[in-house]
Formats: sequence, C-alpha cells, structure tokens
Amino acid sequence: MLFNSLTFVVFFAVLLAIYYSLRNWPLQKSLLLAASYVFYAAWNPPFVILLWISTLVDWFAAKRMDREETHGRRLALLWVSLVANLGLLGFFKYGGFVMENFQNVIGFYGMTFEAAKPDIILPVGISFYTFQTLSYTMDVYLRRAKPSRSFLDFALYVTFFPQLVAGPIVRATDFLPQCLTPRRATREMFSWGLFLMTLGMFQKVVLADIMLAPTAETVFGWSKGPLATLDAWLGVLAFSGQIFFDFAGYSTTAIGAALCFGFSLPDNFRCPYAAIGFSDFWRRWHISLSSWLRDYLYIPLGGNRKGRIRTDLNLMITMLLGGLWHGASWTFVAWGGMHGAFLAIERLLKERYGKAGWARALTGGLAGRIFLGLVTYFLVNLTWVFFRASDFQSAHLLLLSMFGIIRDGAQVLPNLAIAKVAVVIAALVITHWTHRSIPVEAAAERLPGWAHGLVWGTMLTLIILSQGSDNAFIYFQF
Amino acid sequence: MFQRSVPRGKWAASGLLAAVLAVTIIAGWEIQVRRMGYQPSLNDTADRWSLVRSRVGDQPGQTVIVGSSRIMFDFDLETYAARFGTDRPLQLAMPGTNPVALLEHVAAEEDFDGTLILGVAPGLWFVPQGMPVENANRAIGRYDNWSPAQKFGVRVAGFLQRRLAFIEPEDLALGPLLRRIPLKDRPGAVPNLPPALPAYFAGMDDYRQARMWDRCDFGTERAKLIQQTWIPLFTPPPPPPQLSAEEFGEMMKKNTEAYLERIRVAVDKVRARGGKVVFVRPPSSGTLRELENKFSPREKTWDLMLQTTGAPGIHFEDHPELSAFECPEWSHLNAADAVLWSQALMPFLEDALNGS
Repeated sequence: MLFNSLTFVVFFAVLLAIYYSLRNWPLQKSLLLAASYVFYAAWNPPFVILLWISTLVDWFAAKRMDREETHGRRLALLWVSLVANLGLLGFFKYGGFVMENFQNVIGFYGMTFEAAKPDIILPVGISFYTFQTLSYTMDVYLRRAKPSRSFLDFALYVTFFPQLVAGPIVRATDFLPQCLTPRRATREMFSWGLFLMTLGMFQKVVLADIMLAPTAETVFGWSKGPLATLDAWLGVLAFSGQIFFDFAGYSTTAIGAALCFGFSLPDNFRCPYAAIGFSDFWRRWHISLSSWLRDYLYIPLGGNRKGRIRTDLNLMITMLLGGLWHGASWTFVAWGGMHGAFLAIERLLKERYGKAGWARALTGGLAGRIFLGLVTYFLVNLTWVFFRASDFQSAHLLLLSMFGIIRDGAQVLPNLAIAKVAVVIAALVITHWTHRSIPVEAAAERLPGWAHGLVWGTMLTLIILSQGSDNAFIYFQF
Repeated sequence: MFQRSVPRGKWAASGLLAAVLAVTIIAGWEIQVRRMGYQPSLNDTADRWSLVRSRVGDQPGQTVIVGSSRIMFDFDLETYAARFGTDRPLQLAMPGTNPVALLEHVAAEEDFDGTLILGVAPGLWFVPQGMPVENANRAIGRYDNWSPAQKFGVRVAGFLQRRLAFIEPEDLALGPLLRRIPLKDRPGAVPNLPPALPAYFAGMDDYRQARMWDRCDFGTERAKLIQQTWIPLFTPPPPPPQLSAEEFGEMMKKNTEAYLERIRVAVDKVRARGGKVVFVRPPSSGTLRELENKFSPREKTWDLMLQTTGAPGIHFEDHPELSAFECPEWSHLNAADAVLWSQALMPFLEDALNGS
C-alpha cells in the first residue's frame, strides 16, 4: 500500500479510530501487527509469508543464541539467521543478476549456458526488513541487546507498517522498549505527527513527482544521442532533488505516522545537500542505512583499526555492498564504488593536509565551507548519474554531455521544466544550508503558530490539487 | 528509551487552521471549476480499465469493445443494450492507444466467448512504439498485477470523482495547471519536445462511456484548440536519419505485416471459442481525416485488417447513414450525435454479426 494513495488514507483513518478506541495494550499491539500485515498484503498477499519466515527465524535464532554459552553454537545460530535472511534477499533480488553475470562470464570463455530468464517479482521492501531483522540477531549475538521476551513485540518490530517497506531501518534497541508500555500520542504529538505526514507527502507528491520527476525522466530516458550541456545538468540536478524528496518524503511520512500511534522512529535525513565532504554526507543521507553498514559491516571488517590500506579497503567493501543493496545492477555497484573512493580520498586529504594552515582557513570560514559543500554536492551529482542511468553507456554519454565534451547535443527540456528545476533545486540547497544544524522540530518552534498553520494548509492544498498519481516511491524497488 | 521530541507549540490549533485553509481553498476552487463548466466525472485510469476488464468472461455471450477513444465516444453502450437486449458492452477501448495488445489480452481470456467489437482509428492500430503502445501495456500491466490496494483505491477514487468536479487530472491537477504558464520554449528544443496532448474534452461514467463536453462542441475555442493538437499527433515522424526512404518503407511494411498477423491470431482465438468479431470505423473530419487518408489510407489499413482476419467490418464511408456526421474537433462525435450515430450503426452491426 502506498502512502500516497486513497487506500492508505482510509486504512490509516480506520486504524487510528480502532486503535484509540481500545484500552488494552496487548490488544492494541495485536491490532497494529494485524494492520501491518494487511498493509503489506495489500500489495501482494503471498509475500507476507516472507515476513513470517524472517520473523520466525530471527525470533528463534536470537532466543536460542541467548541461552547458548559456547561461541561456536552462537555463531552457528547467527549463520542460520544470515543464510535464511540473505538467502531470501539473494534469491528474490539478485537471482536474475547472478544468472546473467554467470552467463556473461562463461560466454567470455567461449561457452554457452542457456537458462530460462527467471521471472522473479521483487517483494517490496525486502531489503529494508531483512536488514532490520538482521540487526536484531546480530545485536543479540554481539551481546549488545537481550532478545525480546514477547513474540508479539518482536513481530511488531519487524512488521510495523510505517517503516516496513522503505525504512527508516529501525534498531530493536530503539523500538522494542517502546512496546513495553502503552503508547498513546498526546494531542500535540498527534498533531505534529500529522504535520510530518503532510510534509512528507508534500515532498513526494508535489516536489518529487510534479516538479522534478518529469525532467529527470526526460533526460535519463533520452535515447537519441547526446544532450545539450544545460539539459544534461538539469536532468541530473532534477534527479538529485527527486530522489531526496521521494525518499526523505517517505521517511518523514513514516515518522509522522508512527508518532500518531505514539511510537518514535529515528531520523533518516539531515539536510544532506549541505554536507561538507562525503563522511558528512553519509551522516546526513539515509542515516539508518549508513549507520547499519557502519555497525554491522564496516566495524566488523576492522573499521579503521587495522591501518590505512585496510581502512580504505573496508570503506570500499562497505560502499560497494551498500551500492549493491540498492539494486542488482553494476551501475549501483559503481555508484557505491564512487562513494567509497571519495570517502577514501577525503580521509587521505584530511590526514595529509588537515592541520595545514590553508586547510584550516578553508574549513573554518563560511565561504570556504560553502565552497567545500558545493564541491561535495557537485561530486554527489556525478554519482547520481550512475545511480539513475539504465546502463554504463547511457551514464557515459550523459557525463560527456554534462562536461560539454560532445557538442551540439539535443535540447530536450521545455522552459517550464527548466524553471521548475531551477527554483526547486535552488530552494532545496539554500534550505539545507540554512538548516544544516537545525532539526525540523527546532525550525518549527521558531515559527509562530499561525504561520505554521498557513504553511501546513498550503502544503495540504497543493497535495490535494496535485490529485496524486500512483507513482511508487523510488526506494520501494530496493 | 528512544523518544522523539515534539516541538513546543499549539500544533492542534495550527492543524485546525491548516484544515480550514485547505478546505476553504479547495471549496472555492470547486465552485470556480463548476462555473467554468466542469462537472464531476470519473477519471479514465488504468485502474478503471482494469475494473471493467475484470468482468470479461464472467458471463457467457458478453459483448466487449476494444479500440481507442473514438469508439469510446461514438459508440453508445445504452443504444446497443436496448437494441440487442443485453447488458451494456464492456468498454475496454483506451484513448490514444494502439489496441492490438488489448485485443490480444481479451482474446487470451479463455472464458470469453461473446461478441468483440473492434473500433478502428486506422493509424493507431499500426503505431510501432511510443505512447500508444505504452498506454496499452500500462493498462494490461496494471490488470495483470492488480493489487488489492489498487482494487480498493479505484472504488474510493470513484466515490470522490462522482462528487467533485475539480478532480480532473488531465486538466485541473497541479501539473497541467503549471503547464498553462505561457513560456516560450528555446527554438532548439521545440522539435524535441513531445506534442501536446488534447485538453480535457469529455466526461466518463461507470461503464467507461465517454461523452464529449459541451464546451468542446462545434465552433468552440476548445474544439479549435484540440483540432490543432491532432495534427502533430497524427503526423508520423520522419524516417530516422540512418535509414533511406526505401529501408524505412520496408521496415514499416514489416511492422504492418507483424501487426496484421497478431490481429489475425487474436481474432481467430475468439472465433475458435464461438465468439463473433466485427470491426467498426467511426467517422473523422476535417484536416485530421485528410491526414488519415494520406498516412493511413484505407487500402493499407482497414481493407488489410478485414482481408487478413476474414471478419466483417462497418466503415462509416460505406454508408450514407453513418457518414453524415461531423466531428466538432475532427476526431470524435459530440454527445448527441454519438447516440444518433450509434442508432444508425445498429442495423449494420446486426447484419454483420448475423453474417459473421
């Protein structure tokens, strides 16, 4: 079920009414669990079974792990969880990709292997809930957390509908304690939750889908040769905004929806386009994934504790796998590889020149910080080319167009599209810079109530006027 | 325990103000668009198509219509039902669509053994790619993967669309409203921009019966505006630069042959189950008809379809009763004429079905 659908509006309203009419906490949690299964099944009912498998495997693995004293048995149980969860993810998400590459490799050696193209539907959100349940088992394995005592609480943790299909990827240590006591949103909390939902939907429906998506689709879908430099850049900038508003919009809606039921979910974005450097970017972009990769992949690989070369290697492995997490395609791997390379270069520059006078002057002053921020945004945009392009050939052609290496490319954007991208992206970057250290809650507190109401009402009106569409969130496919 | 902070403030009061503001603006907009002549009407979406498609094969002897917008406007479902004493046909035509994939989809429905009426706008049946093909595939894709949420959503949407005139995504949504901003495009970009689609000019009911809007009738500004949108849409693009005229001609010939074969196979499937198939060519007028005669002449489209399939056909040009109608915007009959044209069509349809 999409947040930006009338079905969700009805679902949410009915669920809220029933939830707050109940006075029994276990019953309320059971209701939320059942509703979360309905939410997921409303897309494709049979795939609920995958959720159940994930839930049952990790529930029993963690419970047993906690009782086991020997390291070997604990490790074996961890492997059970890893194989079950990553096996499902691998089959559904990477089965076709592996087969295609296998055929390419043996074809390179002059052999042929013909297999029926696997017709596998990717279960929506599988990457998100797989990582979420894995974090629970790994926390129990690493003795960072005790297993949940309540199966109902654990099942709700895996399935809670606001964050089920596109995050934020919530840690059990953040969520399970909330299940111990009845959750009931206060009037202000409930209203704030509704505001966040409106803000998230405004980002998705108005800014991503109406203002930016058509331009990104035109430019990335252009297949008749090179593009004019202006058009190529505007397409990439439009995509940079589209993916932010789309994904941040989902996260904000999810946080707001959870808040309406009295639950707290963590932030997933903090003004990422005001990042100064790539390490800063990953502290601001898809925070729940980057912290997951840091805690469960980068640090177990050795993090930065084993020398410079090993640190760079760990960074690269983490980012390549992070890229692959987004999709079964080498372009995503390249995107992750570019981020890994930029992170490694940034580390190197900091080590070599971090204490130099000119570097301190550059990072200490506002102008220097803005310059470094814009360089970061420029490089992030280059990585988006690989993220969005359908293949390397298209990405290559687009990059050549962006840098004017091929001249006389086609102009494909109407002036309205140019105006929309210019206005929205300028506003986005400026807003990120002016709010780079200010959470949305603090920004809201600065507004008088009537102004807040006007902003809220305007967003609501524009959402209704946009009349929606059934555009799925981009991150659903991951 | 992790707990989000809620900013200090009277958010409930702000929410109330926001709701009042939104309701006031939307109510004002609803009044305004009604003054402009808009009326509540169902939106023609892939979901609504799927809703009708889901009924194919429910009962024996159903009548199904496949085609593009002309047969949706011009063929009056109620007239047919009255004449043949049946339910209204299931209208599965789609505007701006190459209907071949739709025809194949219906033909593949094993339980369908009734009458299939194929509406022909000649050029569209042989469009090799682009929007007309994508439109059909989108609708079929939606039906084949129709989720419970989407099935429910189309019913909720219908509830609202029957009551609110401003819900008109082709004309009154934020995107189309922004497109009304008069900005002159760069000369270099103009040839690469997609042709404009016609502005809103019809309403639709639960049976997917389209009715031309009064404000698009003869002599109206909107009719003139839409006439001009047909010209680029019905003018085929020039051959790609890498192909000679002969090579391009050969390619298009093969494309036509491939489509004819697909049509034949699908028609044969329906007939093999005892079903009946008839082609119907509704009228077109003015410059659009000239373009159709030039780029999709009858002998290279309509005649070949009948010859290849062996199915009967009713071409408006063959019958004075059917060719006496003019289309206000060159492509579709107005609401009143659609009924009259359908009444005139029924005897020919009856003959064709009895003979097929």
